[in-house]
Parts: sequence; C-alpha cells; structure tokens
Amino acid sequence: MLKSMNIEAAIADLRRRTLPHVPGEIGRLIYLAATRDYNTGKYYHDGLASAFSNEVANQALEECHNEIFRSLVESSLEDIVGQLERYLSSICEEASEIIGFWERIEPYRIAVPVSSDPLSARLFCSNIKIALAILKSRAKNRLNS
Amino acid sequence: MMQFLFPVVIGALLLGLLLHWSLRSRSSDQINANPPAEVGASGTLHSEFLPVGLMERILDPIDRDFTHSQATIETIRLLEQERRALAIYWLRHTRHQVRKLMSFHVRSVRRHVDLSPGLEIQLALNYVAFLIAYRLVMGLFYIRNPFHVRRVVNYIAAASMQLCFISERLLLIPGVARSTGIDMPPSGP
Repeated sequence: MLKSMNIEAAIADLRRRTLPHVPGEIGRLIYLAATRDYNTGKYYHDGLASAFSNEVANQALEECHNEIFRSLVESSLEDIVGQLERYLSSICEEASEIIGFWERIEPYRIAVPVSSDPLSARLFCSNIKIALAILKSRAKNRLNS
Repeated sequence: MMQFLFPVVIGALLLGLLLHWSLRSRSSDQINANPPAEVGASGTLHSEFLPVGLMERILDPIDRDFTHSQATIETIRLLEQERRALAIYWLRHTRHQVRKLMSFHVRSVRRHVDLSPGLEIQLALNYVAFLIAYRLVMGLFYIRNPFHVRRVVNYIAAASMQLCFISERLLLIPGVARSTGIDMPPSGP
C-alpha cells in the first residue's frame, strides 16, 4: 500500500517536474526509453531515486513510458507527423540529416516499452516510418517550390 | 441354432463395444488429469489475442485521407503496404489463437457428454464463419486496398471475440471446469 502510494507520488513528480521540459510526446518517449538500461531493462533516474528509491523510480518511469507509448499508438498519423516534426525541430541538427539517419538505422525501435504487445510495437514503428516519409516528401516539395 | 447365434454375436459385439468405450473414457480421464496447456496456473485460458481495438486504428480511413492530402504516390503506397502487413499479422495471430481455443474445446468435449448442444452448435457455426471470413479477407488483401476490407476485418474481430465468449461460457459448465482444474468463478450474489 505504502509502496503503491510512493509510486503514485513518483509518477506525479515526474509529470510535474521533468516531463513538461521535454518537448512533445515523441521527445518524452525517447527521454523515458533513454533512462532504461539496455542490459537489464530497468529504469534509472538519480533525482527520483534519491527522493524515493531505485525500485519506486524504476516503476514510475516504466509506468510513464507505457502511458506515453499507448497514447502515441492510439494517435492518428497526422498527430504523429506533428509530434515528430516538433521533436525534430527541438534538436539542434539538420532535420533532413536526422530523417535520413532514422530511416537507415531505425533507432525509434528501441523506444518501445518491453511490456507492449507486438501489434502495438509494430504499429508504432510503422507509423514513424510513414511519418518520416511524409516529412521527407514535404521537405522535397519545399525545396522544389 | 443359427437363429440364436446371430443375436448372441450381435449382443456380444455391442457389449464389447460398450466395455471398450467405458475403458477408453476412464484411461482418457487419467491421461487428462492435468489441466490442458491452454489453462494457466491461475485457472484461466491463456488469452493471447492481440488488441481488437487497434485494428480500427490501423485501418482508419483518416490516416489514408491525411496521407493522400500530404504525400507522394510512393508514400501512399508505403502506407498501404504497411497497413496490409499489420492487418495480415493480426489476422494470422488471431487465427492461431482461435485454433488453440478450438483444440482446447475439442479436448474438453471428448471427456464430457453433458455439454450444452446449443453452445456446441453456436461454437461450430461461429468457427466456420470465422474461417470463411478469414480466407475471404486474406484473398481480398492481395487484390484490394487494405482500407476497403475494413468491414470484413471488423467481422473477424467480432467472430473471434464471440468464440472467446462461448469458450468462457463452456468453462462455466461445472464438469468441464472440474476436470480441467479451473477454479469456478463465484456464482451470483
């Protein structure tokens, strides 16, 4: 009971203090995925761990990661294109360069939470792939005009 | 003499057949004393159906219209290819789960004669309808735009859910639940 209250408090803390500073849903998804250890699949966050505990921080981050992922999976393609555009514009690199790299390496695959079902994971990756193609064709149109 | 021999032979054959059935059902009960593979430790069917609601999202025409208004013909083709692949993945997975469900059902039926005939007929009809719709939609996916077969996909989703529902009702039949090791849910208030 006490533990679940702590997790709720940690989630609220994360939503109030950390996530609003990360631009867009895709940015938040990538931020949360980056707090996950590649080897163990556990999430780490020093600030949350010192305020609560490592275990509570892990569960709070996992919960937020799942929540943002679900919301993105249920979003329309138009929303995803908008979110991706927002994320790309927040990075201090040329958008076309990032699009090219994402198309080749598909780094967004690593942003999928472990507990997600295979269809949701496939839909997410597929939507990002199409969104990248749309952004690329928009950029091409802009250049031509 | 032949007049008496014939009915005696027939009687002996019938008796032998009855004995054989009785022994078979006993040994089958012994073999199946453990719960089937589909029944989990918690006493529920391993339900691994993929989320049905996502299929509506995948084949939502809003995405198609948006892509048509925004992108080149290559991107539109990419969208169609991707959505077709997702829908086929979902269909194959659903068919696999439905087969597992039916195999569990058939194994349960072998051991029980007190099942409801109404439920059995309903289940069989739903299974046949599911298989027909599955074949139809798989064929359609190769010749038509995936967004155009949305209705049939929705029908398949509904049919698979109906099969699940009937199976759940089957599990509520006391004999089946007892022999498969499934905990009976509390009955009513």
